[in-house]
Amino acid sequence: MNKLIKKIMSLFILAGVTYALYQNFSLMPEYQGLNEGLSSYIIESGLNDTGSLNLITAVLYDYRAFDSLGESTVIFGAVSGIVLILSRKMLPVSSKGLSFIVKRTLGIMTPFIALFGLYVITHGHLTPGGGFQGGVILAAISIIFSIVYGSAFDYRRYSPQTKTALETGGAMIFLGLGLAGIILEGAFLHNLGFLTAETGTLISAGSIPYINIGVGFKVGAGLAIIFYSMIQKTFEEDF
Amino acid sequence: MSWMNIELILLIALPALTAVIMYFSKYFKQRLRNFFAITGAGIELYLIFSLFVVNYEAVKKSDFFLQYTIGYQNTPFVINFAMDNLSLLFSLIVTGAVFLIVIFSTQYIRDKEHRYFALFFLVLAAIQGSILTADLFTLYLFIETITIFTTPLISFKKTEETTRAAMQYLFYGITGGIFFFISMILIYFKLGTLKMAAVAESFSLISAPMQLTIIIFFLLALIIKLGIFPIHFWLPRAHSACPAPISALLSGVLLKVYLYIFMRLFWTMISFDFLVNLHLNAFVLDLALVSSLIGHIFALQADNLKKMLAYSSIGHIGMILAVLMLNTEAAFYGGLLHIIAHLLMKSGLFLSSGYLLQRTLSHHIDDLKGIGHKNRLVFIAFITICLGTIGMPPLIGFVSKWYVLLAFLKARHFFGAFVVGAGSIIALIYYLRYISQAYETVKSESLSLKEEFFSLREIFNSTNIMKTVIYIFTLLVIFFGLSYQLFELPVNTAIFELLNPQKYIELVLGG
Amino acid sequence: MAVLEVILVIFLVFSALMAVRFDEELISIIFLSIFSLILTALYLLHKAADVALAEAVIGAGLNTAIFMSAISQIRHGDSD
Repeated sequence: MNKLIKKIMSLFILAGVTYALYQNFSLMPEYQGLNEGLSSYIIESGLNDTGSLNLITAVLYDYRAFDSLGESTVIFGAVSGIVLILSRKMLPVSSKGLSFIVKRTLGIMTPFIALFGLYVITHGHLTPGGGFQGGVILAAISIIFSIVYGSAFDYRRYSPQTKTALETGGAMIFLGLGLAGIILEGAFLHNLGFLTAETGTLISAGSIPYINIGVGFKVGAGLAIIFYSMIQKTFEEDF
Repeated sequence: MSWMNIELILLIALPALTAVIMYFSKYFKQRLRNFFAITGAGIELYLIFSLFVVNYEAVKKSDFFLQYTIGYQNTPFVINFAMDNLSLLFSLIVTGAVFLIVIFSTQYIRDKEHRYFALFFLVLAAIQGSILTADLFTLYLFIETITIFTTPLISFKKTEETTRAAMQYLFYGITGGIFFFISMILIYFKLGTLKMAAVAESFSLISAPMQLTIIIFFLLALIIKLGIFPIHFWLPRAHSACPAPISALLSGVLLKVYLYIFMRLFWTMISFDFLVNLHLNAFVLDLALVSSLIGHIFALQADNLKKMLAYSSIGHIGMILAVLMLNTEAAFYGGLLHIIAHLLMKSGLFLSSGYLLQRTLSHHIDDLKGIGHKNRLVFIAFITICLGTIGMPPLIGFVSKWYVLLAFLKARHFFGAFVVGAGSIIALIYYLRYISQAYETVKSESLSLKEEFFSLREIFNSTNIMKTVIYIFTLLVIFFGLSYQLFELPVNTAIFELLNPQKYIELVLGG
Repeated sequence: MAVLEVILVIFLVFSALMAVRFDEELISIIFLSIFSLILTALYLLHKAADVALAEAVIGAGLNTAIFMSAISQIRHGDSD
């Protein structure tokens, strides 16, 4: 009986909240394109301003690059915090990994995954994707290593020290490009005009590809560290 | 170009750079690491102080304004950073307090310092960013950043209690962030811009029910973050679980930053008249007063020294919020002065409690027996700052509480005046409980006062650095209590900013 | 196109409800990753390729792996 009352109460509350939210959001205007001409402005002159074919990358790493810097700093801090909370002194003992078939199959597939990740990072200004997405794909390789081959294999190949160095290196690239913007162009994170060939080629769009590479390494290494510090204890008890 | 002031971006980038260096400092010697940490905070303090000194004339005439723009000119989505007198005041006091806390924690934190300092400086960068930014999205980003970075610092000791407190803190912090985000999205859909100045200009174009929704969600977000009465229970747990310097950072500094954001939102961006039109100001005022009273009453029953201090923080923050809601010049004067006073006093109290509790069994009141005999001078400093929070005449707490009381009386709001007085009396009772416990007789021999005083010369001994920081806070409390007129100029110019938001709006949009 | 979208939205809501409904964490996580996959398809239908790529990689890939490792941590019963 008590349970039934609880259920009915929660249903009522749910309905009430739904109604309130519906009332609020029905006040929202009909979607008629954003005024102020934001999107039309980007579509018209984004390519001119930045030289990047992918306009989303142009917004992320050029127009609002400061916000992206903040977001990647969030990842930096989250990695630092998670390692701070979860870190243990002992070396993890690895599991034996999965069966022979899986190991062979992924041995063939992994290089292509890495290639795809690098492609997504380096072509961020030309095709969909960018540093963030490509970095996560690279982090997936580390995850595959720890699951399929055991975390000791991952540890031997890419030790946490290497990952930490990669992560801070990525952060330094981003910050350094920002500071270089002050010196060369007179504004923090201003797009640098060097090495710009015609638009549509790999080396174009100023400093956007380099920021992409920095963010890619940073995100990939950071997420790999998070995953690694989460599995440590588990595999020790598996063995 | 006068509107491109590189210092503003350096104020944010410098702590971030220090954080990256500290992250690598595992391989440094301890002295080098401490040197880097203190230098990073010191350069920051020097930068902001030189800004104040160089622009002293402009501050005096209250037309001080610095601005920095990231992005292409004449595009609708540049990121603005702006610093007016209000942000200057807050940035100055926050950086000063953080500098002292950094010096304290170089000696207090004994393991995993590199991660501690990396996170600490990231929090400092986020605090500076949220004070300086003039863009709603960047503000949201920095608020979330503060929440995410302080969570691992709260669970630094890795016990069950601290983990639980950190999880609760994270949950409520993120919930507050979501409310903030909803308001932000609604504003973006309605007005198509997130620049605070542009929003301020066209906020009256939004229909009245939508205005109510936006304002209520902003209020909810900030009430959660400030720990006002209905949603206050996470605050004492979080603020008492962490190491002492982090308690000082959270309770002394961060709550003031949220108060600053409150002022920025409800006086500059959304004009206060909208709150008055919707009759929300009286409601928030009463809520804050009730919260103040409840904070003081809960502090009476807290058997844990740090928890008691955290509850007393709830009381003071509620009082400041209430006096700000009066929206008169006298009220702003009292409120801003009490913000400065509370920042100094609460940081000093938490730091000295951290020093005193180093060698006790627990933070429980029964374990504090005889603590006043063991560390005489530090405990005298503790008592002095306690008297400051109660409002004893020569100290800064008296001055600020006096002006708060005057503001309530001038506005003929007698319940507020009653809460200020009652809060002081209750505070006297709960501080006396601890002080009498600390002077219980103990058997062990203790250093004489004279000996301890002369041992001050060994200033580079680690415990003495900690003691020195506590003494500095005490001396500041006494000094500013005697010469509070020093704050008259910055506080008055900050009030000018609050009363004339039009200046800020025009300068940001014109730049 | 509109029919496909309606079907996808129905499945989206269904998988979200299922993820909440089950007590077993493993099933919830599987449904969450299905949710992300459907969301990816919806993003693609609306021609937001960048967001779709991010959602597929993070929502369906990384989140699932991290949740799984968290679950195995819980099942081993160490509260360290």
